[in-house]
Amino acid sequence: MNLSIKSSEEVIIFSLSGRLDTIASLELEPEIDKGTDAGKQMEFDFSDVNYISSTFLRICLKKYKELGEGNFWIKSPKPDIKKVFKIAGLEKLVKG
Amino acid sequence: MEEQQKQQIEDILERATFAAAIFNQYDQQQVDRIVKAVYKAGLNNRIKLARMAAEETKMGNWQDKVKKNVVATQYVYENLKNQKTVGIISEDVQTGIIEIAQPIGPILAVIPVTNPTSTIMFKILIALKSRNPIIISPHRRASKCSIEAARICYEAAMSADAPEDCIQWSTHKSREETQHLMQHPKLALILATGGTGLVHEAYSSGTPALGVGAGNVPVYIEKSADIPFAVGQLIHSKTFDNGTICASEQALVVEKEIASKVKEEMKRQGAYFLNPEETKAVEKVAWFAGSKSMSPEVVGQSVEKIASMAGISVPENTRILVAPLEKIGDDEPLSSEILAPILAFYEADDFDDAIRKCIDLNYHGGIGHTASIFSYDEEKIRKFAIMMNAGRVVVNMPSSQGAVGFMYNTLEPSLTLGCGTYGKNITTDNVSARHLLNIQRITRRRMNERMVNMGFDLYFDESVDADTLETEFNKNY
Repeated sequence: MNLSIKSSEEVIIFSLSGRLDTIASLELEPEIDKGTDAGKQMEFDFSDVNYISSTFLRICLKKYKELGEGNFWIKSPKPDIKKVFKIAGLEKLVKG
Repeated sequence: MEEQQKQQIEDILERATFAAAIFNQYDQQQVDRIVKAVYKAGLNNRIKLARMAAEETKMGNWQDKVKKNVVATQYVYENLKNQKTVGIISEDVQTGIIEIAQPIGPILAVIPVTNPTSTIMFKILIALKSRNPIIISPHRRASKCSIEAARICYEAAMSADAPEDCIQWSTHKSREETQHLMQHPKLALILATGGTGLVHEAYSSGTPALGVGAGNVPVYIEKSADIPFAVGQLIHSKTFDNGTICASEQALVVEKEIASKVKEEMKRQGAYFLNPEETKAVEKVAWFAGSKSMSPEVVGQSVEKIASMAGISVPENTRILVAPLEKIGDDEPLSSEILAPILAFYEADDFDDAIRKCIDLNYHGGIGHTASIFSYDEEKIRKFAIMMNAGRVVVNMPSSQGAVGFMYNTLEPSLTLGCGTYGKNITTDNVSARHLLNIQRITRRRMNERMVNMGFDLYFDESVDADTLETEFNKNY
């Protein structure tokens, strides 16, 4: 997985590509925590992600519960990945 | 039910839902690799799990449970390995239909005490093959061996990169908790193998369910049969795991003309015919008059144990106890299903009388399950089969092993045998991976030629009746 992070005053944009498997998700978690601590909104650009693991879904659920709707979202996932969020019941997190 | 238990169930279902979502990304190759790893782990642990199951449940014997574990792993795998269960599974240019297999979602597997480890491995394999997460709900008297079987499978699945939580198991749940689990909106299907009450609860939960029914298998040795062979097969089947398989023969029907020959052969092969007093004594230990059901105390017990419980003495090397009976029904307890090496025996006047008796037996608690015949008369075999209400009619083979499939015929190997609507089930099939898929059909434009040729004008003319419309519709076709 490749990751680039861009931060503005209000939003941190995580641009990811490749496989977001368990190890990659666990590596990403501290970065997400940093964003939470800074009180910023977080956007995950998923346009180049082609696999996600349940670990990432769990992180999403945790953050969703912690931050509430609208502060943490997935942008432009491929259809296969959008369907994963749909089946997992986390479609509220997907934008686009 | 307390909040904590409710939360536990929520957590189980949430994990299963995530596993279902992740599984959706897997292709056929990945799925097949997981199924292969799990079957191998199950097969490698066949003896350990069989011993654990026999020891914990005190039913059957470990040697036959090894064989059941082999059926549930190796034979099931051989049946599944080349099946397409992911994405496009068939394409027919002629009809313009393309079939797509989609997973159904989280499955709850209810496990019986009689075949715990084998049923678990079987259900796990068919669930994984169809990309569905599975939650194992063990029987309280078989929880240790059940959890170990599930754990072994999960470890193997994870080693082949299966989705996390694709296999979960619950510790013993109260009836209320099980009902809550069954009714959970995130649950897709219940695979219910067990007693009638439990299967009924599954069907009543509002969640789709594939259940089984009780058996009361009649076996008819018709006069054209090879008697020594038929008797050998019957005893082989009835004694298997001390009679715990619900497809095992419960009552033998023979015509009077060959009755003495059959009896002699049965005695020669280890059957002990009970006298009326002994029959009553066995009935007392094998039957609960109050609930009108077999006593769990005799289920899967050996002949020696049952004889000792009943206080009767039987010759050494006796393999089954045979109760010669006349009536069928509630007044005659041993005409019902008893999952132990106890067999009812009926003499019939002729072919028609034999069929009448088999109908009565079949409808007395075993409707939709299995019926068995030994015969070389094709016409009689077919007549018998049509008269039975049974998902499986096995011919010239041991019923226990025959109904389960693969070994003696080409039925799909399964430890969940559908009993049709009369058995309160939705299918008569041997349940397998194909039942755990939603099949989507892409349909391409193929205009119906007759409809096009006829047009719709005639339908608007009230004087044109159905006969004319049928003729016109099929004109020149």
